[in-house]
Amino acid sequence: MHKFVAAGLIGLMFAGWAHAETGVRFSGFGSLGAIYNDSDNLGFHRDYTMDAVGQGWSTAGDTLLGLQLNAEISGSFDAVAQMVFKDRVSNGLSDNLEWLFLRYRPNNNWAFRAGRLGLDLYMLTEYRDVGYAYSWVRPIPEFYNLISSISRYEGADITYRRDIGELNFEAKLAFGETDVKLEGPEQDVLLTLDNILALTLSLSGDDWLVRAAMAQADTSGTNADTNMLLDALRAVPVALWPQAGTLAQEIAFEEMLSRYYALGFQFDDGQWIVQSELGYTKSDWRLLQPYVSGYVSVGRRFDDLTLYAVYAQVENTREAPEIELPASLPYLSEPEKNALLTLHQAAQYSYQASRLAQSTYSLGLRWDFYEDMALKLQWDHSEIDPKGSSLWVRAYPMGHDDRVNLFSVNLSFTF
Amino acid sequence: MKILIISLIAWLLVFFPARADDALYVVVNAKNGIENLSHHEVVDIFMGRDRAFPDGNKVTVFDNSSDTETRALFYRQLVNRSLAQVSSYWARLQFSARVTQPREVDQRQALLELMNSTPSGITFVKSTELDPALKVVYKFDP
Repeated sequence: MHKFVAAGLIGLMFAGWAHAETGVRFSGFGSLGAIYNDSDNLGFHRDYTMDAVGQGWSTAGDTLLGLQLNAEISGSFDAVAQMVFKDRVSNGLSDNLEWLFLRYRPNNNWAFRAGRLGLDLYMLTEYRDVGYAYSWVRPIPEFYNLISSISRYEGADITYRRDIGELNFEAKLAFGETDVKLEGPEQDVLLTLDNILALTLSLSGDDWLVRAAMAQADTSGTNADTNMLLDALRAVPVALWPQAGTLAQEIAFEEMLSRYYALGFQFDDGQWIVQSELGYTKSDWRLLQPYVSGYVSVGRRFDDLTLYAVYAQVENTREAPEIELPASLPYLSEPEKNALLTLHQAAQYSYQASRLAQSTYSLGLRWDFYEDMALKLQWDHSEIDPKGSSLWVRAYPMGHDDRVNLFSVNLSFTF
Repeated sequence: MKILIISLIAWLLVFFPARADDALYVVVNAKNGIENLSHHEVVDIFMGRDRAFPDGNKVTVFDNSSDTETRALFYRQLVNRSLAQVSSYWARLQFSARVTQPREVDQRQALLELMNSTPSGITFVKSTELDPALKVVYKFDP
Protein backbone atom coordinates (compact mmCIF):
# COMPACT_ATOMS: atom_id res chain seq x y z
CA MET A 1 0.00 0.00 0.00
CA HIS A 2 2.88 2.38 0.75
CA LYS A 3 3.66 2.31 -2.97
CA PHE A 4 0.37 3.99 -3.73
CA VAL A 5 0.98 6.65 -1.13
CA ALA A 6 4.32 7.39 -2.75
CA ALA A 7 2.52 7.43 -6.09
CA GLY A 8 0.11 10.06 -4.86
CA LEU A 9 2.91 12.28 -3.63
CA ILE A 10 4.82 12.06 -6.86
CA GLY A 11 1.60 12.75 -8.70
CA LEU A 12 1.14 15.98 -6.78
CA MET A 13 4.69 17.02 -7.52
CA PHE A 14 4.20 16.36 -11.20
CA ALA A 15 0.92 18.22 -11.26
CA GLY A 16 2.48 21.25 -9.59
CA TRP A 17 5.31 21.28 -12.06
CA ALA A 18 2.90 20.87 -14.96
CA HIS A 19 1.04 24.02 -13.97
CA ALA A 20 4.20 26.02 -13.49
CA GLU A 21 5.58 25.34 -16.96
CA THR A 22 3.94 25.76 -20.30
CA GLY A 23 4.42 22.99 -22.84
CA VAL A 24 4.42 20.50 -20.01
CA ARG A 25 1.53 18.15 -19.81
CA PHE A 26 0.59 15.81 -16.99
CA SER A 27 -1.69 12.83 -17.56
CA GLY A 28 -2.28 9.43 -16.11
CA PHE A 29 -4.05 6.09 -16.22
CA GLY A 30 -4.92 3.40 -13.80
CA SER A 31 -6.90 0.31 -12.94
CA LEU A 32 -8.62 -0.81 -9.79
CA GLY A 33 -8.92 -4.54 -10.16
CA ALA A 34 -9.96 -7.54 -8.15
CA ILE A 35 -9.14 -11.12 -9.13
CA TYR A 36 -10.61 -14.30 -7.73
CA ASN A 37 -8.25 -17.25 -8.23
CA ASP A 38 -9.75 -20.69 -7.51
CA SER A 39 -6.47 -22.63 -7.45
CA ASP A 40 -4.82 -23.67 -4.18
CA ASN A 41 -1.59 -24.35 -6.06
CA LEU A 42 -1.04 -21.80 -8.80
CA GLY A 43 -0.53 -18.11 -8.07
CA PHE A 44 -1.36 -15.73 -10.91
CA HIS A 45 0.61 -12.76 -12.14
CA ARG A 46 0.20 -10.57 -15.24
CA ASP A 47 3.91 -10.82 -15.80
CA TYR A 48 6.96 -12.05 -13.94
CA THR A 49 7.88 -8.62 -12.57
CA MET A 50 4.79 -8.73 -10.36
CA ASP A 51 4.09 -10.72 -7.21
CA ALA A 52 1.64 -13.54 -7.80
CA VAL A 53 -1.79 -13.67 -6.18
CA GLY A 54 -2.94 -16.94 -4.65
CA GLN A 55 -6.30 -18.53 -3.92
CA GLY A 56 -9.24 -16.27 -3.12
CA TRP A 57 -9.87 -12.62 -3.85
CA SER A 58 -7.02 -10.20 -4.33
CA THR A 59 -6.75 -6.60 -5.42
CA ALA A 60 -2.97 -6.58 -5.89
CA GLY A 61 -2.77 -8.40 -9.21
CA ASP A 62 -4.49 -5.87 -11.47
CA THR A 63 -4.42 -2.63 -9.52
CA LEU A 64 -1.97 -0.10 -10.85
CA LEU A 65 -1.41 3.59 -11.39
CA GLY A 66 0.51 5.30 -14.18
CA LEU A 67 1.63 8.92 -14.29
CA GLN A 68 3.01 10.55 -17.38
CA LEU A 69 4.71 13.81 -18.06
CA ASN A 70 5.16 15.13 -21.60
CA ALA A 71 7.44 18.10 -22.01
CA GLU A 72 7.68 19.99 -25.27
CA ILE A 73 11.22 21.33 -25.31
CA SER A 74 11.26 22.90 -28.75
CA GLY A 75 9.47 22.25 -32.02
CA SER A 76 11.48 19.07 -32.68
CA PHE A 77 12.54 17.95 -29.21
CA ASP A 78 10.35 16.56 -26.48
CA ALA A 79 10.77 14.43 -23.39
CA VAL A 80 8.50 11.88 -21.76
CA ALA A 81 8.57 10.39 -18.28
CA GLN A 82 6.21 7.67 -17.16
CA MET A 83 6.00 6.01 -13.77
CA VAL A 84 3.91 2.90 -13.23
CA PHE A 85 3.14 1.83 -9.68
CA LYS A 86 2.06 -1.75 -9.21
CA ASP A 87 2.83 -4.70 -7.00
CA ARG A 88 6.33 -5.31 -8.31
CA VAL A 89 8.77 -7.98 -7.15
CA SER A 90 11.43 -5.28 -6.82
CA ASN A 91 10.80 -2.39 -4.48
CA GLY A 92 13.19 0.37 -5.59
CA LEU A 93 11.54 3.63 -6.56
CA SER A 94 13.54 3.70 -9.79
CA ASP A 95 12.01 0.35 -10.77
CA ASN A 96 8.70 2.19 -11.04
CA LEU A 97 10.17 4.49 -13.66
CA GLU A 98 8.78 2.88 -16.76
CA TRP A 99 10.19 5.35 -19.26
CA LEU A 100 12.29 8.45 -19.35
CA PHE A 101 13.42 9.51 -22.76
CA LEU A 102 14.35 12.37 -24.98
CA ARG A 103 12.95 12.40 -28.49
CA TYR A 104 13.97 14.24 -31.63
CA ARG A 105 11.47 14.48 -34.46
CA PRO A 106 12.97 16.57 -37.27
CA ASN A 107 9.89 16.00 -39.46
CA ASN A 108 6.78 13.88 -39.79
CA ASN A 109 8.74 10.85 -41.02
CA TRP A 110 11.55 10.34 -38.55
CA ALA A 111 11.77 9.99 -34.78
CA PHE A 112 14.83 9.26 -32.67
CA ARG A 113 14.59 8.38 -28.97
CA ALA A 114 17.13 7.72 -26.27
CA GLY A 115 16.78 6.86 -22.60
CA ARG A 116 14.66 4.26 -20.84
CA LEU A 117 12.22 3.07 -23.47
CA GLY A 118 9.45 0.60 -24.12
CA LEU A 119 10.39 -2.25 -26.44
CA ASP A 120 7.74 -2.12 -29.14
CA LEU A 121 7.79 -5.84 -29.80
CA TYR A 122 4.25 -7.19 -29.50
CA MET A 123 1.11 -5.22 -30.27
CA LEU A 124 0.38 -4.19 -26.68
CA THR A 125 3.84 -4.05 -25.16
CA GLU A 126 3.99 -0.26 -25.11
CA TYR A 127 0.55 0.17 -23.50
CA ARG A 128 0.15 -3.15 -21.69
CA ASP A 129 -0.69 -1.44 -18.39
CA VAL A 130 -3.20 0.99 -19.91
CA GLY A 131 -6.34 -1.09 -19.40
CA TYR A 132 -8.52 1.69 -20.76
CA ALA A 133 -6.89 1.25 -24.17
CA TYR A 134 -8.05 -2.34 -24.78
CA SER A 135 -11.10 -4.53 -24.21
CA TRP A 136 -9.59 -7.22 -21.98
CA VAL A 137 -8.83 -6.89 -18.30
CA ARG A 138 -5.14 -7.47 -19.07
CA PRO A 139 -2.90 -8.48 -21.98
CA ILE A 140 -3.32 -12.18 -22.79
CA PRO A 141 -0.95 -13.99 -20.36
CA GLU A 142 -0.01 -16.82 -22.74
CA PHE A 143 1.35 -14.25 -25.14
CA TYR A 144 2.40 -11.35 -22.94
CA ASN A 145 3.57 -12.66 -19.55
CA LEU A 146 7.11 -13.36 -20.58
CA ILE A 147 7.62 -10.49 -22.99
CA SER A 148 6.00 -7.90 -20.72
CA SER A 149 8.59 -8.84 -18.11
CA ILE A 150 11.45 -7.71 -20.32
CA SER A 151 9.96 -5.04 -22.52
CA ARG A 152 11.51 -1.91 -21.20
CA TYR A 153 15.16 -1.18 -21.73
CA GLU A 154 17.87 1.44 -21.69
CA GLY A 155 18.92 2.36 -25.18
CA ALA A 156 17.79 4.10 -28.32
CA ASP A 157 15.44 3.60 -31.22
CA ILE A 158 14.78 5.03 -34.65
CA THR A 159 11.32 5.19 -36.22
CA TYR A 160 10.54 5.83 -39.83
CA ARG A 161 6.96 6.29 -40.96
CA ARG A 162 5.39 7.27 -44.23
CA ASP A 163 2.08 7.26 -46.03
CA ILE A 164 1.63 4.80 -48.84
CA GLY A 165 -1.52 6.05 -50.50
CA GLU A 166 -4.09 5.95 -47.70
CA LEU A 167 -2.03 3.47 -45.70
CA ASN A 168 0.49 4.13 -43.00
CA PHE A 169 3.80 2.28 -42.94
CA GLU A 170 6.14 2.28 -39.95
CA ALA A 171 9.51 0.70 -39.27
CA LYS A 172 11.31 0.84 -35.96
CA LEU A 173 14.80 -0.28 -35.05
CA ALA A 174 15.79 -0.50 -31.39
CA PHE A 175 18.93 -1.42 -29.49
CA GLY A 176 19.86 -1.43 -25.83
CA GLU A 177 20.06 -3.47 -22.65
CA THR A 178 18.10 -4.11 -19.49
CA ASP A 179 18.13 -5.98 -16.21
CA VAL A 180 15.11 -6.98 -14.23
CA LYS A 181 14.08 -8.89 -11.12
CA LEU A 182 11.47 -11.55 -11.80
CA GLU A 183 9.37 -13.97 -9.79
CA GLY A 184 9.84 -17.31 -11.53
CA PRO A 185 7.56 -20.34 -11.06
CA GLU A 186 9.47 -21.44 -7.95
CA GLN A 187 11.91 -18.69 -7.09
CA ASP A 188 13.11 -15.20 -7.92
CA VAL A 189 15.40 -14.71 -10.90
CA LEU A 190 17.64 -11.81 -11.80
CA LEU A 191 17.71 -11.42 -15.54
CA THR A 192 20.04 -9.36 -17.71
CA LEU A 193 19.54 -8.72 -21.41
CA ASP A 194 22.47 -7.31 -23.35
CA ASN A 195 22.78 -6.32 -26.99
CA ILE A 196 19.05 -6.18 -27.51
CA LEU A 197 18.29 -5.62 -31.17
CA ALA A 198 14.68 -5.32 -32.31
CA LEU A 199 12.97 -4.53 -35.60
CA THR A 200 9.26 -3.83 -35.91
CA LEU A 201 7.37 -3.30 -39.17
CA SER A 202 3.74 -2.31 -39.35
CA LEU A 203 1.19 -1.33 -41.94
CA SER A 204 -2.19 0.10 -41.07
CA GLY A 205 -5.34 1.32 -42.73
CA ASP A 206 -8.36 3.01 -41.19
CA ASP A 207 -9.75 -0.20 -39.72
CA TRP A 208 -6.82 -2.61 -39.60
CA LEU A 209 -3.22 -3.12 -38.64
CA VAL A 210 -0.70 -5.83 -39.48
CA ARG A 211 2.70 -6.01 -37.88
CA ALA A 212 5.78 -8.18 -37.75
CA ALA A 213 8.56 -7.97 -35.22
CA MET A 214 11.79 -9.74 -34.49
CA ALA A 215 14.26 -9.27 -31.70
CA GLN A 216 17.31 -10.86 -30.21
CA ALA A 217 19.27 -10.46 -27.01
CA ASP A 218 22.14 -12.01 -25.08
CA THR A 219 20.46 -13.20 -21.93
CA SER A 220 22.04 -13.95 -18.58
CA GLY A 221 20.42 -14.80 -15.29
CA THR A 222 20.96 -16.04 -11.80
CA ASN A 223 18.87 -17.70 -9.18
CA ALA A 224 19.74 -19.54 -6.00
CA ASP A 225 18.67 -23.08 -6.94
CA THR A 226 20.40 -23.02 -10.30
CA ASN A 227 23.60 -21.78 -8.71
CA MET A 228 23.53 -24.63 -6.20
CA LEU A 229 22.89 -27.15 -8.95
CA LEU A 230 25.74 -25.72 -11.01
CA ASP A 231 28.15 -25.85 -8.08
CA ALA A 232 27.20 -29.46 -7.45
CA LEU A 233 27.53 -30.47 -11.10
CA ARG A 234 30.92 -28.80 -11.41
CA ALA A 235 32.13 -30.57 -8.26
CA VAL A 236 31.39 -34.06 -9.61
CA PRO A 237 34.67 -35.84 -10.45
CA VAL A 238 34.96 -36.38 -14.20
CA ALA A 239 35.51 -40.11 -13.68
CA LEU A 240 32.15 -40.49 -11.97
CA TRP A 241 30.04 -38.54 -14.46
CA PRO A 242 31.95 -37.27 -17.49
CA GLN A 243 28.86 -35.42 -18.88
CA ALA A 244 28.32 -33.35 -15.74
CA GLY A 245 30.54 -30.52 -17.00
CA THR A 246 28.72 -30.24 -20.34
CA LEU A 247 25.42 -30.31 -18.49
CA ALA A 248 26.55 -27.42 -16.30
CA GLN A 249 27.42 -25.43 -19.41
CA GLU A 250 23.93 -25.91 -20.81
CA ILE A 251 22.24 -24.97 -17.57
CA ALA A 252 24.47 -21.99 -16.79
CA PHE A 253 22.70 -18.86 -17.87
CA GLU A 254 25.37 -16.62 -19.29
CA GLU A 255 25.10 -14.66 -22.50
CA MET A 256 22.67 -17.12 -24.02
CA LEU A 257 21.23 -15.87 -27.28
CA SER A 258 17.45 -15.67 -27.33
CA ARG A 259 15.36 -14.70 -30.32
CA TYR A 260 11.77 -13.49 -30.56
CA TYR A 261 9.49 -13.42 -33.57
CA ALA A 262 5.94 -12.07 -33.63
CA LEU A 263 3.13 -11.50 -36.11
CA GLY A 264 0.05 -9.50 -35.27
CA PHE A 265 -3.25 -8.58 -36.84
CA GLN A 266 -5.96 -6.23 -35.69
CA PHE A 267 -9.29 -5.25 -37.23
CA ASP A 268 -11.71 -2.74 -35.73
CA ASP A 269 -14.50 -1.21 -37.78
CA GLY A 270 -16.23 0.32 -34.77
CA GLN A 271 -18.48 -2.71 -34.34
CA TRP A 272 -16.31 -5.78 -34.60
CA ILE A 273 -12.88 -6.02 -33.02
CA VAL A 274 -10.76 -8.95 -34.10
CA GLN A 275 -7.22 -9.32 -32.89
CA SER A 276 -4.70 -12.10 -33.14
CA GLU A 277 -1.00 -12.54 -32.54
CA LEU A 278 1.40 -15.39 -33.04
CA GLY A 279 4.87 -15.61 -31.54
CA TYR A 280 7.89 -17.89 -31.51
CA THR A 281 10.67 -17.65 -28.97
CA LYS A 282 13.92 -19.49 -29.35
CA SER A 283 16.68 -19.69 -26.81
CA ASP A 284 20.01 -21.45 -26.45
CA TRP A 285 19.42 -21.72 -22.73
CA ARG A 286 18.22 -25.14 -21.62
CA LEU A 287 15.95 -23.75 -18.94
CA LEU A 288 13.96 -21.61 -21.38
CA GLN A 289 13.09 -24.00 -24.15
CA PRO A 290 11.70 -22.79 -27.48
CA TYR A 291 7.96 -22.14 -27.49
CA VAL A 292 5.13 -20.86 -29.64
CA SER A 293 2.27 -18.80 -28.34
CA GLY A 294 -0.77 -17.16 -29.82
CA TYR A 295 -4.29 -15.98 -29.30
CA VAL A 296 -7.43 -15.03 -31.18
CA SER A 297 -9.84 -12.49 -29.75
CA VAL A 298 -13.21 -11.55 -31.21
CA GLY A 299 -15.28 -8.72 -29.81
CA ARG A 300 -18.53 -7.04 -30.75
CA ARG A 301 -19.64 -3.59 -29.64
CA PHE A 302 -23.21 -2.72 -28.70
CA ASP A 303 -23.18 1.02 -28.02
CA ASP A 304 -21.21 1.34 -24.79
CA LEU A 305 -20.94 -2.41 -24.22
CA THR A 306 -18.26 -4.62 -25.73
CA LEU A 307 -18.55 -8.41 -25.50
CA TYR A 308 -15.47 -10.47 -26.26
CA ALA A 309 -14.17 -14.02 -26.33
CA VAL A 310 -10.55 -15.12 -26.44
CA TYR A 311 -8.72 -18.36 -27.03
CA ALA A 312 -5.02 -18.44 -26.17
CA GLN A 313 -2.35 -21.10 -26.14
CA VAL A 314 1.32 -21.52 -25.33
CA GLU A 315 3.38 -24.65 -25.93
CA ASN A 316 7.02 -25.69 -26.04
CA THR A 317 7.96 -26.79 -29.53
CA ARG A 318 9.77 -29.92 -28.36
CA GLU A 319 10.02 -32.30 -25.44
CA ALA A 320 12.41 -31.49 -22.62
CA PRO A 321 15.70 -33.34 -23.26
CA GLU A 322 16.23 -36.50 -21.23
CA ILE A 323 19.49 -36.55 -19.33
CA GLU A 324 21.24 -39.91 -19.52
CA LEU A 325 22.00 -41.66 -16.25
CA PRO A 326 25.70 -41.67 -15.38
CA ALA A 327 27.24 -44.90 -16.78
CA SER A 328 29.23 -45.32 -13.59
CA LEU A 329 26.15 -45.92 -11.40
CA PRO A 330 26.30 -49.77 -11.12
CA TYR A 331 29.90 -49.63 -9.92
CA LEU A 332 29.37 -47.10 -7.14
CA SER A 333 28.84 -47.49 -3.44
CA GLU A 334 25.32 -46.85 -2.15
CA PRO A 335 25.94 -43.25 -0.80
CA GLU A 336 27.79 -42.19 -3.97
CA LYS A 337 25.08 -43.71 -6.11
CA ASN A 338 22.35 -41.87 -4.18
CA ALA A 339 24.20 -38.57 -4.37
CA LEU A 340 24.64 -38.89 -8.13
CA LEU A 341 21.02 -39.96 -8.65
CA THR A 342 19.79 -36.97 -6.65
CA LEU A 343 21.93 -34.65 -8.74
CA HIS A 344 20.71 -36.26 -11.95
CA GLN A 345 17.15 -35.79 -10.78
CA ALA A 346 17.75 -32.14 -9.88
CA ALA A 347 19.26 -31.46 -13.30
CA GLN A 348 16.36 -33.21 -15.02
CA TYR A 349 13.88 -31.23 -12.90
CA SER A 350 15.53 -27.97 -13.90
CA TYR A 351 14.77 -28.86 -17.54
CA GLN A 352 11.11 -29.28 -16.62
CA ALA A 353 10.67 -26.38 -14.23
CA SER A 354 10.11 -23.68 -16.84
CA ARG A 355 8.07 -25.71 -19.31
CA LEU A 356 5.06 -24.02 -20.87
CA ALA A 357 1.90 -25.86 -21.87
CA GLN A 358 -1.49 -24.35 -21.32
CA SER A 359 -4.55 -22.96 -23.04
CA THR A 360 -7.11 -20.48 -21.84
CA TYR A 361 -10.69 -19.66 -22.80
CA SER A 362 -11.89 -16.21 -21.79
CA LEU A 363 -15.20 -14.40 -21.89
CA GLY A 364 -15.58 -10.79 -20.97
CA LEU A 365 -17.53 -7.61 -21.03
CA ARG A 366 -16.40 -3.99 -21.16
CA TRP A 367 -18.81 -1.20 -20.32
CA ASP A 368 -17.85 2.38 -21.15
CA PHE A 369 -20.23 3.77 -18.56
CA TYR A 370 -18.67 7.18 -18.07
CA GLU A 371 -16.23 9.51 -19.80
CA ASP A 372 -12.67 8.10 -19.64
CA MET A 373 -13.78 5.15 -17.49
CA ALA A 374 -14.57 1.55 -18.29
CA LEU A 375 -15.82 -1.26 -16.11
CA LYS A 376 -14.79 -4.77 -17.11
CA LEU A 377 -15.79 -8.26 -16.07
CA GLN A 378 -13.83 -11.27 -17.27
CA TRP A 379 -13.77 -15.00 -16.74
CA ASP A 380 -10.70 -17.03 -17.70
CA HIS A 381 -10.59 -20.80 -17.68
CA SER A 382 -7.08 -22.22 -18.05
CA GLU A 383 -6.15 -25.83 -18.68
CA ILE A 384 -2.57 -26.40 -17.71
CA ASP A 385 -0.42 -29.38 -18.46
CA PRO A 386 0.99 -30.98 -15.25
CA LYS A 387 4.43 -30.12 -16.63
CA GLY A 388 3.69 -26.74 -18.15
CA SER A 389 2.70 -24.32 -15.43
CA SER A 390 5.61 -21.89 -15.51
CA LEU A 391 3.45 -18.85 -16.29
CA TRP A 392 2.22 -19.26 -12.70
CA VAL A 393 3.93 -19.29 -9.36
CA ARG A 394 3.66 -22.78 -7.86
CA ALA A 395 2.88 -23.40 -4.22
CA TYR A 396 3.78 -27.09 -4.61
CA PRO A 397 6.16 -28.81 -7.02
CA MET A 398 4.61 -29.33 -10.43
CA GLY A 399 2.52 -32.34 -11.30
CA HIS A 400 -0.64 -31.15 -9.57
CA ASP A 401 -3.96 -31.33 -11.41
CA ASP A 402 -4.32 -27.86 -12.84
CA ARG A 403 -7.47 -26.29 -14.12
CA VAL A 404 -7.70 -22.74 -12.95
CA ASN A 405 -10.53 -20.23 -13.12
CA LEU A 406 -9.95 -16.53 -12.69
CA PHE A 407 -12.77 -14.06 -12.22
CA SER A 408 -11.87 -10.41 -12.64
CA VAL A 409 -13.64 -7.15 -11.98
CA ASN A 410 -11.80 -4.10 -13.15
CA LEU A 411 -12.27 -0.38 -13.35
CA SER A 412 -9.90 1.28 -15.81
CA PHE A 413 -9.56 4.99 -16.25
CA THR A 414 -7.43 7.79 -17.66
CA PHE A 415 -7.05 11.37 -16.57
CA MET B 1 -54.09 15.64 -50.14
CA LYS B 2 -53.46 14.55 -46.57
CA ILE B 3 -51.45 11.60 -47.79
CA LEU B 4 -49.47 13.87 -50.06
CA ILE B 5 -48.59 16.22 -47.18
CA ILE B 6 -47.63 13.32 -44.94
CA SER B 7 -45.42 11.78 -47.59
CA LEU B 8 -43.89 15.18 -48.27
CA ILE B 9 -43.08 15.60 -44.56
CA ALA B 10 -41.75 12.04 -44.41
CA TRP B 11 -39.61 12.72 -47.46
CA LEU B 12 -38.26 15.93 -45.92
CA LEU B 13 -37.47 14.12 -42.67
CA VAL B 14 -35.59 11.40 -44.50
CA PHE B 15 -33.58 13.65 -46.77
CA PHE B 16 -33.12 16.67 -44.55
CA PRO B 17 -32.81 15.18 -41.10
CA ALA B 18 -30.81 18.15 -39.89
CA ARG B 19 -30.99 21.85 -40.57
CA ALA B 20 -28.32 23.16 -42.92
CA ASP B 21 -26.70 25.25 -40.19
CA ASP B 22 -26.06 22.13 -38.10
CA ALA B 23 -23.14 21.35 -40.36
CA LEU B 24 -19.68 21.08 -38.80
CA TYR B 25 -16.71 23.01 -40.12
CA VAL B 26 -13.02 22.33 -39.76
CA VAL B 27 -11.31 25.68 -39.33
CA VAL B 28 -7.77 27.05 -39.15
CA ASN B 29 -6.27 30.40 -38.24
CA ALA B 30 -7.28 32.98 -40.89
CA LYS B 31 -3.60 33.65 -41.71
CA ASN B 32 -2.94 29.97 -42.51
CA GLY B 33 -1.96 29.44 -46.16
CA ILE B 34 -3.99 26.22 -46.43
CA GLU B 35 -7.22 26.71 -48.41
CA ASN B 36 -8.81 23.31 -48.02
CA LEU B 37 -8.16 19.79 -46.73
CA SER B 38 -9.45 16.42 -47.86
CA HIS B 39 -11.39 14.18 -45.49
CA HIS B 40 -8.37 11.88 -45.28
CA GLU B 41 -6.08 14.76 -44.36
CA VAL B 42 -8.51 15.93 -41.68
CA VAL B 43 -8.59 12.39 -40.25
CA ASP B 44 -4.79 12.15 -40.20
CA ILE B 45 -4.48 15.49 -38.41
CA PHE B 46 -7.21 14.98 -35.80
CA MET B 47 -6.28 11.35 -35.11
CA GLY B 48 -2.63 12.16 -34.50
CA ARG B 49 -1.14 10.54 -37.60
CA ASP B 50 0.12 13.81 -39.07
CA ARG B 51 1.86 16.49 -37.07
CA ALA B 52 1.99 18.88 -40.02
CA PHE B 53 -0.30 20.45 -42.60
CA PRO B 54 0.10 19.16 -46.19
CA ASP B 55 2.38 22.20 -46.85
CA GLY B 56 4.78 20.96 -44.14
CA ASN B 57 3.90 23.57 -41.53
CA LYS B 58 3.37 22.44 -37.96
CA VAL B 59 -0.18 21.74 -36.83
CA THR B 60 -1.69 22.31 -33.37
CA VAL B 61 -5.01 20.56 -32.81
CA PHE B 62 -7.57 21.98 -30.38
CA ASP B 63 -10.30 19.52 -29.52
CA ASN B 64 -13.50 21.55 -29.17
CA SER B 65 -15.23 20.04 -26.15
CA SER B 66 -17.50 23.00 -25.36
CA ASP B 67 -20.49 20.91 -26.37
CA THR B 68 -20.54 17.11 -26.04
CA GLU B 69 -23.14 16.63 -28.76
CA THR B 70 -21.12 18.58 -31.30
CA ARG B 71 -17.99 16.71 -30.35
CA ALA B 72 -19.75 13.34 -30.60
CA LEU B 73 -21.11 14.29 -34.02
CA PHE B 74 -17.68 15.43 -35.18
CA TYR B 75 -15.95 12.12 -34.38
CA ARG B 76 -18.90 10.15 -35.72
CA GLN B 77 -18.59 11.98 -39.05
CA LEU B 78 -14.81 11.94 -39.00
CA VAL B 79 -14.03 8.29 -38.22
CA ASN B 80 -17.43 6.76 -37.39
CA ARG B 81 -16.47 6.18 -33.75
CA SER B 82 -18.16 7.01 -30.46
CA LEU B 83 -16.49 9.37 -27.98
CA ALA B 84 -15.62 6.40 -25.75
CA GLN B 85 -13.89 4.69 -28.67
CA VAL B 86 -12.01 7.86 -29.57
CA SER B 87 -10.97 8.26 -25.96
CA SER B 88 -9.71 4.66 -25.80
CA TYR B 89 -7.82 5.21 -29.07
CA TRP B 90 -6.11 8.25 -27.59
CA ALA B 91 -5.25 6.39 -24.39
CA ARG B 92 -3.28 3.97 -26.55
CA LEU B 93 -1.37 6.70 -28.40
CA GLN B 94 -0.92 9.03 -25.47
CA PHE B 95 0.38 6.42 -23.02
CA SER B 96 2.55 4.59 -25.51
CA ALA B 97 4.00 8.11 -25.87
CA ARG B 98 3.63 8.15 -29.62
CA VAL B 99 1.57 11.28 -29.91
CA THR B 100 0.31 13.70 -27.33
CA GLN B 101 -3.45 13.88 -27.20
CA PRO B 102 -4.84 17.18 -28.56
CA ARG B 103 -5.72 19.71 -25.94
CA GLU B 104 -9.42 19.79 -25.10
CA VAL B 105 -10.89 23.28 -24.86
CA ASP B 106 -14.28 23.44 -23.19
CA GLN B 107 -14.95 27.21 -23.41
CA ARG B 108 -16.00 28.75 -26.73
CA GLN B 109 -14.39 32.09 -25.99
CA ALA B 110 -11.13 30.46 -24.92
CA LEU B 111 -11.13 28.36 -28.08
CA LEU B 112 -11.54 31.42 -30.26
CA GLU B 113 -8.73 33.22 -28.44
CA LEU B 114 -6.46 30.19 -28.77
CA MET B 115 -7.24 29.88 -32.48
CA ASN B 116 -6.51 33.58 -32.89
CA SER B 117 -3.18 33.45 -31.14
CA THR B 118 -2.01 30.14 -32.65
CA PRO B 119 -1.10 30.37 -36.36
CA SER B 120 -0.76 26.57 -36.51
CA GLY B 121 -4.16 25.98 -34.85
CA ILE B 122 -6.94 23.79 -36.20
CA THR B 123 -10.29 22.90 -34.66
CA PHE B 124 -13.91 22.21 -35.54
CA VAL B 125 -16.95 24.40 -34.93
CA LYS B 126 -20.67 24.62 -35.66
CA SER B 127 -21.88 27.18 -38.21
CA THR B 128 -23.05 29.47 -35.40
CA GLU B 129 -19.48 29.56 -34.08
CA LEU B 130 -17.88 30.60 -37.36
CA ASP B 131 -15.86 33.78 -37.03
CA PRO B 132 -13.88 36.06 -39.40
CA ALA B 133 -10.74 35.04 -37.56
CA LEU B 134 -11.33 31.43 -38.65
CA LYS B 135 -10.84 30.03 -42.12
CA VAL B 136 -12.96 27.05 -43.16
CA VAL B 137 -10.86 24.30 -44.76
CA TYR B 138 -13.35 21.45 -44.66
CA LYS B 139 -17.08 21.14 -44.28
CA PHE B 140 -18.92 17.98 -43.27
CA ASP B 141 -22.17 17.31 -45.08
CA PRO B 142 -24.89 17.67 -42.46
